[in-house]
Amino acid sequence: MLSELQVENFRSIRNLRLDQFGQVNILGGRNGSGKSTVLEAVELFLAPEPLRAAFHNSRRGIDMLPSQNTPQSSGVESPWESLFCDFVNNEPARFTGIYSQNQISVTYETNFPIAKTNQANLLAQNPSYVFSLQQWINEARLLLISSNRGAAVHLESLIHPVPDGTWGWTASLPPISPCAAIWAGDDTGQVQQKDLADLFSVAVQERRESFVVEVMREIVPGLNKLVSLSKNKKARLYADTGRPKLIPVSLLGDGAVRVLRILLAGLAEEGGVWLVDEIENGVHYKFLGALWRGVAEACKQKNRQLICTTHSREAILSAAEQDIADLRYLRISRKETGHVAIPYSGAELRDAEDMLVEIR
Amino acid sequence: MAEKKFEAVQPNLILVEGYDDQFVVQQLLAAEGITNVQVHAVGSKVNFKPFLNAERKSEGFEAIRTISLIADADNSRESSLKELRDAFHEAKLPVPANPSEFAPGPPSVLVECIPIGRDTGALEDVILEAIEDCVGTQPCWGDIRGCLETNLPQAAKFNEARWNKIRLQLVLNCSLRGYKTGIVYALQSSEYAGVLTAPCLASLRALLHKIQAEHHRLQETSAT
Repeated sequence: MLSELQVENFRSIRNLRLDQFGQVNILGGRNGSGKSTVLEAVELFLAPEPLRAAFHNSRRGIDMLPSQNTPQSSGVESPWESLFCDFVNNEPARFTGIYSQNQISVTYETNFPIAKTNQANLLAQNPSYVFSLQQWINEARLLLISSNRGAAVHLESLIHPVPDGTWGWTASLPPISPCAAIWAGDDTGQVQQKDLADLFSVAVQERRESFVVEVMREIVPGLNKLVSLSKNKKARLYADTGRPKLIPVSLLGDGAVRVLRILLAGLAEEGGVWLVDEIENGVHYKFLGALWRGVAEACKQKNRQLICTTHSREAILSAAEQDIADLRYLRISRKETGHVAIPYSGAELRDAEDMLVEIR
Repeated sequence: MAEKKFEAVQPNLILVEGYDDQFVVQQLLAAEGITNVQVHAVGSKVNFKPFLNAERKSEGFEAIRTISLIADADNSRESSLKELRDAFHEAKLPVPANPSEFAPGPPSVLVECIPIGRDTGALEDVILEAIEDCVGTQPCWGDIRGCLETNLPQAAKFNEARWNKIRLQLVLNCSLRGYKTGIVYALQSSEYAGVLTAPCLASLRALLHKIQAEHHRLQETSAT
C-alpha cells in the first residue's frame, strides 16, 4: 500500500507531499490544481517506465514525438519538457515515497545515461531507480511516430516499423500490466472496452462474478448476469437483462460501462494501486453509492488501494456516506510556495457538509 | 430551499449562533461603516467547533486574518467563554486567554459573550434594553409575568431564562406588518431607528472597532 509520496519538479508541481493515504482515496481541488498530475506521479512512481510518461503526454494531447523525417529544428516540441515543472528539465522530476513499507525513490531526467533495466522486479529489488529519458529520446527520434491513445506499450517487445514507412508502435498494453499501478476508467487508459471480457473472465475464475453483477444491478435494473461470448475468435461481454436476446454491454450506457470497467480493473489484480481519473464521469448521482460500495469492496477483496480524482461534490459526499473504513479525501491546492494536500476523513467530510462549508 | 454554502469573502470573520445575532451584528457593522467583516451564523453554540474544523481545511481559509466567536452568555458567561475557547483549541487554532482580546495567529482569534461584561444573558436582553431605551418599558410586563407564573401548569414551569426573549418577540411581533419578523424588522423600521445607537450596545460596537483595529494592525505588520 502506498502510504507516502513526495512529488518534485513534475508538470505543474514544484513540490507536493502526500502522507495520509487510505485504502480508498479521492483527490479533489480546482481545475489545474494538479489532481490528475498526482495520479500520473503515482503511476510513474510505482510503475516507472519512460513510455508511461509518453502515454500520459499523449493522453493530454501533447503530440510529442516527431516522425523519422521531421528535422529537429522544425519547431516540434521537445518530447519531454512538459514533464518538468515550468518546462525546465535541468532538474529531475523526482518521486519519493513509501510503498508497502519500503522507501522508494524514482527519478526521471533527460540527461542521465543509464543502461536499460528490467522493470519487472523494480520495486522489490531497486529501492532507488533512475531512468534515462535521454536514451529514450535518442530512440524516440528514430523510432516513433505521433502517438494517440493506447500509447503505453512494452517498449522492448513492440517497437517495429509501421506501414507508412516511419517507425513506431501500434500495439497497446495488455489489459493489465504487471506493475503496481494501473490507470483505469477512461478510454485512453490501459483498460479499454475490448478488454472487458478478459477482465470479466478473471472475475469469473475467482468466483466474483455475482459480486460484479450485484453492483451493476443497482445501475442496470433487471440485470441477471454477465456472459462472456466468443465471436470471430474475440471474446465479448454480454448482459442478460431478461430480454429475449443477450445485449452487448456497450449498449448498457456509457456510465454503466465505465463503472463496470473500473470495477473489473480493480478486481483483476491482487494488491497494488488502482488509478481512476474523474471517477464519477458519466455516472448518474443516484448510482454513485453503488460505485463507491463496489470499489470499496473490490479494494477489500483484492487488498488494493484506489486513488481517484473528482470535481463532484455529490461524488465526494456519496463516498463519505458509504461507511468506507479507510476513506481519505485529499484536497489538492496550489499555493505560491508550492502545492499542498489537505486530508479529510469520512467523518470530517460529513461535518463539513453539515456546516455548509465547501470541501472542493 | 437549499441552504447556501459558506464562503469566506472578507478577511475578518465573526461567527455567531443564530440568524438574529448575524443580522444584529451586520446592522451594527453597517451603521459603524465597517465593510471588511463577514458575519456568519453557525446555528448554535455547539456548531462553532465543527464549523471551525471544517473551515480550517477549506480553500479560502488562508485569506482570513481574524476570527471572532460571539455567543450568548446564557446561564454562565464563564462556561460559555470556555466553550468558545475549546472550539478554537479543538480546531487547532490559537486560543485567546481573555475575552475581547485577540490571540495572535494566523488567524488572530477572539472570543466574547453577550451581554458584554455581564455574567448571564443573551443578545435579546441587550436588544430589549435598547428598544426600551427608544420606546419605553411596557407597564403590563409585571402583570403578564405574574399571570404566567401563577397559571402555567407545574410541568411547564415559568422559564426565567426565556422571559426577555419572550418580551422581545412580543413587542416586535405586535408591531409586525407583512412577513418580516422579530429583530430583523425592529432594526429596519423607523419606529426603532434609535436601537443601533442605544448606549447598551456601546460595548458591542466597541468590539467591532477592535476587530477593525486588529485588521489594520495585521495589515501594517504584513506591509513592514
